[in-house]
Parts: sequence; structure tokens; C-alpha cells
Amino acid sequence: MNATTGTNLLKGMAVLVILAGIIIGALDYVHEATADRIEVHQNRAFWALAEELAGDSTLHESAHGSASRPEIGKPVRLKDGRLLGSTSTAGYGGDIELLILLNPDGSIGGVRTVRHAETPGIGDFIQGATPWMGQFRSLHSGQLDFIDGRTGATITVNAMRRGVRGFISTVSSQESEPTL
Amino acid sequence: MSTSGNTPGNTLASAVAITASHAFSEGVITRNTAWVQMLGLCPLLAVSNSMVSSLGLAVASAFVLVSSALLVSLLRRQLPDFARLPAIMLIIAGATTLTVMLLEAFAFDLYSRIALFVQIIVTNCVILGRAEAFASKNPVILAVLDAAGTAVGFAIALISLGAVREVIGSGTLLAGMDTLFGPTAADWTITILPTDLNMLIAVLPPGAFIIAGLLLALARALITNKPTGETHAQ
Repeated sequence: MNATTGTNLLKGMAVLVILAGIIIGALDYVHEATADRIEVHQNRAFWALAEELAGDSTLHESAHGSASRPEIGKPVRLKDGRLLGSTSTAGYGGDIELLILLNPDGSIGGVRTVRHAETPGIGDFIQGATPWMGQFRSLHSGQLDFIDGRTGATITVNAMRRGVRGFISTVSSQESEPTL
Repeated sequence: MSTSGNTPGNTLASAVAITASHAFSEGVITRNTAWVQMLGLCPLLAVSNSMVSSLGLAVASAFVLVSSALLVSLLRRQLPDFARLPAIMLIIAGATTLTVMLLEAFAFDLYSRIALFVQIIVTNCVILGRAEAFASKNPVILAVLDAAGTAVGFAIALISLGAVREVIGSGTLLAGMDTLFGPTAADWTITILPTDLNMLIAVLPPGAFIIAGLLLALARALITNKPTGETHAQ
């Protein structure tokens, strides 16, 4: 009886380990095969959002012809003097990736959410050109507390304020940015 | 489960065929996950505000259901009792992650709309239930048929709810199908109601509960009126 239990235990563990190995291998293969495609989609979505926000449909083409988005903390200067960059902030359901446009005078030109995992129906007022997101327009860094709170979404709202404020302070501490 | 009177030839082949068709049709009608067993209602209610989202989730769930049933059934003799549940969870989680990556790579726009609900397929009780109750005890063909039947039943529930909510809430049918089938599907949209007759509540969560309740009542009435409609839980 004891011997059978022991064999069973070993056999079960062996099957589990082999199964885990096969699944990890398969996932790794599919990840390798799809990562580039996903990256292309995400970049396209980023630039579509940026062009809509900046009101300039030639943004993508003038971006050195490069299809990738500006790295977090490395914003690019547009031809008209505005600054475009992305940042990430810790929301309620995970990181919120933001796209931020700054006017030449340092005020905010607009903010858009690139991706987020906030609770559906409660935290998704940050998705798209909602009136709430419109509040950021033409504010300065010190005025971010004027942004309205949202019942049930305090953490989301604070994360958005923190993300935008952090982006502005990083940018103002940098001297030169690559010009687009 | 199949009654003896149903097998006139009484050959093994016909008995197998009847069991197989039974495994499939039970999942579609008499054991329909949503309308009879009331399982998997969270993604059902949350995603079904348009037909394209419903279809996307139905396809993703079907893939996970069938592939996990196949693997669990293949491994059923190799797995001692204690290792069965971990193995099933491993398989379901792997299949779900695979689906997420494939959807994100090939249907990005649709994925960004239903992302969260595709990821939580991993916790869908229907899939774990079928893998544990049926696939781990039955041969591969039966397990796959049972999973396919369950998937079709879930898809019927999702798509019917999605269609009703889209017509009442947005006045259209098949809108946004290009996010799943490519640009050629962009003009499949059928406008049924003019915009000023749309009832926004239908696409919001409360509308999901109201319409799902009405459809549930209808489905119950149809299923219990059938002469062979005794529902037995597996």
C-alpha cells in the first residue's frame, strides 16, 4: 500500500512537472512569434491617440519615420514646440499607461490613457476623450488638485494626478529633448 | 443515459454514435451553461453589449474549453487523484494565456475592448467543471464533443443576449465586425432602429440583468416544454 502511494506521488509529480514544462515551452514559442505583431499594434494605437490629441495627422510620419513610441521618461519635442511623451502610473488594477502633451509654456495640452486595467464601469472614465479627461487641458503642474474626484475611484483619480505631476516634474528637470 | 429503445440496430457503433451526439446536444440544450445551469454569468453579462464582443468571447471560451478538455482527457490515466486539479488548472491557465496572446496579435481592436474578460476565462467555473466532471473520466472523442457542445451552448447564450442588447441599445446589428473579420466586414452593419429610439440602458449593466432575465425565462419555457426535456445534472 505504501509503495503504491509513493509511486503514485512520484508519478503525479513527474506528470505535473513535464506538463508545466510543455506549457511553458508552448507559451514561450507563441510569445516569441506574436510579440512583434503585438508591439506594432500597440505603437499604432499610441500614434493614433497622439495624432488625435495633438490635432495633427502627420505626427506619425514626421516621427523620424520610426514606428516605435517614445520611451517612458524620454518625451519628444514636436515641430510646433509642444512636448509629447508617455508615462506609467500605478492605478487600482495595475499600471495605467498615459500619453501626455505639454504646451510650450509648460501647461498641459491634453492627456489620454493608452492602456489601463481599472475596474470596468467604475474606473473606465479615464478611457478616451471623456469630459473628466478634458479637465487636464491648460492646467499647470501646481493646479492638478483642481481635478474633480470620482466617487468609488479615489485611487484611480490620485494615480492620474500623480502620473501627470510626475511626468511634468521629470520633463522640467531635463534640459534638452530630441526634436521631432 | 441513452435509453435502450433508441438503439434498434443495437450495434456498438450506433450506441457510441448516440452517446456522442448525446454528449454534444446535452451541452447545447438540456445542460446549457448559461440558461439552464446559470454558470459563467459574470462574463456573459459584462461582455454582451454588442454582438462582436459576444462573438469574440464565445470564440475565446470555446478554444479554451475544447483544448483543455482534449488535454485533460488525454492525460486522464496518467494523473493520480491528487495531481488532477493542479494539472487541470495548469492546462486551463496555459490555454487562456495562449488565447490572450493570439487575440492581441491578430484582433487587437477587439482585444482592447474585451481584454479583461478574456483574461478571466481562466476562472470560468464552466471550463473547470467540464474538465473535472467529464473530460477527466471519459475518452478523448467524447470529452471533445462534450466541450464543443458546452461551448456552442455558451455561444448561443452570449450571442443571443448580445444581439438583443445591441438592437435595443444601439439600434444596429453586427456593428464593428471588422475588428474580428478584417476590413471586408466593415459594411456588415445593419441599422434596425433610428438613433433616437435607442435605449441606452440596454447596453449598460442594469440592462444586461433585465434582458438576461427575460431571455432566461424564454429559454426555460422552451426547454421545459420539450417532451424529452428532463434536465439531469451531470
